[in-house]
Amino acid sequence: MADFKATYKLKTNPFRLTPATNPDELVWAGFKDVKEKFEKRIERSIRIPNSTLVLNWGEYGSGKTHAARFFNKKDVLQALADKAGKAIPYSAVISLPKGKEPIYSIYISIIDKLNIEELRNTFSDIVGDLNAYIDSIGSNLHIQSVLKAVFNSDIQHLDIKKYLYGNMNATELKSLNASGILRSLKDDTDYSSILAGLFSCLTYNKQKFSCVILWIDEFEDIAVLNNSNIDKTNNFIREILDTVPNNLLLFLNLTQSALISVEDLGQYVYESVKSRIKERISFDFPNPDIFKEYLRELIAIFREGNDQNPYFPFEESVINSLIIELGSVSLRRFNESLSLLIELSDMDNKCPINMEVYEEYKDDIIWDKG
Amino acid sequence: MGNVCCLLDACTVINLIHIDEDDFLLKKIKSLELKKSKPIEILIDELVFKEIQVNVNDRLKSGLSKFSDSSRIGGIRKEIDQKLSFFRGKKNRSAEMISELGNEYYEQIKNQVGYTKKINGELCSTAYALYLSRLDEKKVFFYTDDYPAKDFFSGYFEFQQIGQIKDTVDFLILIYWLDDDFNKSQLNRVLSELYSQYAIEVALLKERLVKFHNEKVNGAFIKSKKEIAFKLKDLINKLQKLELQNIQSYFEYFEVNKTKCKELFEIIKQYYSVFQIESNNQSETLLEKIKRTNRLIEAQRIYKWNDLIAS
Repeated sequence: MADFKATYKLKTNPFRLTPATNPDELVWAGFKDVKEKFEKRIERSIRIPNSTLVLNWGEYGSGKTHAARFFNKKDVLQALADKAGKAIPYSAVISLPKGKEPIYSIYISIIDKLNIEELRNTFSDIVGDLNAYIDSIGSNLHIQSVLKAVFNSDIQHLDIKKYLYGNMNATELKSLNASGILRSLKDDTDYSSILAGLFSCLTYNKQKFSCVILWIDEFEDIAVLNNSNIDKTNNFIREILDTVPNNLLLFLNLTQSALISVEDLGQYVYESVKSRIKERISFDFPNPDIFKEYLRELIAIFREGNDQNPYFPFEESVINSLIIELGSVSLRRFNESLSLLIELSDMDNKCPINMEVYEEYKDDIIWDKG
Repeated sequence: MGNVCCLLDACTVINLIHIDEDDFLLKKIKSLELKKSKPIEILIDELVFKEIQVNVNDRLKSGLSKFSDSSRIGGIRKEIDQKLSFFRGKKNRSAEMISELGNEYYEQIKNQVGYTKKINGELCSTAYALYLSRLDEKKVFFYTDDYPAKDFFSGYFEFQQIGQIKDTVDFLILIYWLDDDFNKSQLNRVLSELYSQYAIEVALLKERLVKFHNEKVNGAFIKSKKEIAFKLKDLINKLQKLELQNIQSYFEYFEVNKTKCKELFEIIKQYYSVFQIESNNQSETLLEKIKRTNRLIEAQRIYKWNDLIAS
């Protein structure tokens, strides 16, 4: 194999299917309309105190998970916050749990990502105001005490994390009694209340975080849950939006599948949730022009040096043939084929990737026609 | 012997254990067994019970995100053990059969039905069902969710007039109409739980296969194992679209080719139940049957004795 960068004038293979470990490689190319919709929606939540539910809808491989990962990046969110002149949003991406206790699993996923030490540092100058604010939200004294303890540096941060996970025994729990915490968290109501309270605290006066952005990926898996867990999931979304009336932006990524189609959406997403959806962002299959624009931009981001051909190492005729051959398919399918084509060419030292090379590998990179 | 002799297969028992909350179903079954009129008798073949013991906890370890909290698995495992002891007492007569007919009885039935696989729970249950039908002069209902096995042995059940092969959906409906206190919403709940058991396995298998594909299927993989890579893509596509017809052939393919890609077969093996939910291209899968049954129950009443006399 020749030196990849020098031969193909690319930093790395831009079409890899595994999520990039280096955030710099997690990029957005093309699809300007979709990107703008997300930017506008996030910017709006950064500026305005308002909680919103957005449904991201599209077929498998159309880029919903990628959008979640991209807009979860700190630099992307910071740029949007700077534009609005406000604080950065607090953002998290989780997958819809398929287990027996979906609300507990959602709660654990969020607690897993919660860096209490960092939060305490961030909020140290306004902790007095925050405690007064906590007293004003809800009437559950136990939940209020837990929320105050999260931000209280007098309590060991690992102790409170242990408590939030439900791993404290009765003796250990006694150490929190003085802070007004007299019992463990025990049911979905507790978990929902803690999350709602936490989101409200994080976005208090939009001072430290302008809003909370929560992406629930693979929401279509609601169709594999039993009736009782479908109920619980719907109730959780409704409750969290109602109890965090300001500053929560909830994205649900929903793949159209055999289990969940447009017709039976109502069976899984109840009216009480559907009525709260403010926007649907659709991820459609790209047409040839949109795909080629995406390709040019993606290659430009990964370009090492210069080349007059914006598709280099591919000749444009190869791209055109691939588009015709695959037909109307998801972006993932295009990426899969191009990733294999570039890898196979690299293994056999073939560059540029012209029609002759394409014809040689065609049967290896197209597994069924769209 | 009860009016309906219910011979249960491993997958049916494992499903009953996993869908049961607060021993609701087990209590129903127990009370029907104890009833004076003896509406049902539950039986399990010896080898089937061993299969249950081996496989009953598989669903706890197969998930990526299904049971995310390992500390809770211990509690679930304990509950499963308690439920298992209920079924332990049902494997009561196959030893008696062997002492009467000898060990070669299974071989005899295997040859007669032309079964090419090794002697397993389904074959032993078929042999046991034949014995019970002749001994007690009764029809025997064999409940299994292994649709390919159901398809294979159904002809034999019919020809020998043993009885019928049914599935867990049919068993739940039987318990429902026999028990006056088993209401429609409870039936709906257990059917939805049964659906979820299989749908989750399909979703988890798909998740694992996509992960494997994204991480491992690159240019080098295609060069050395193109057919395996394309078969894998096909399988992911089928799971995505829930086109489960002929899915058993994928299991067989990856089993035959396991030396070429051991890691992939290890994943597939963990989700064997997914490959059992269809029998052939023409008939419906277990998932489709549950959905259709749920719709039917809404549209049409299943009569219990009290409903009949009241109408």
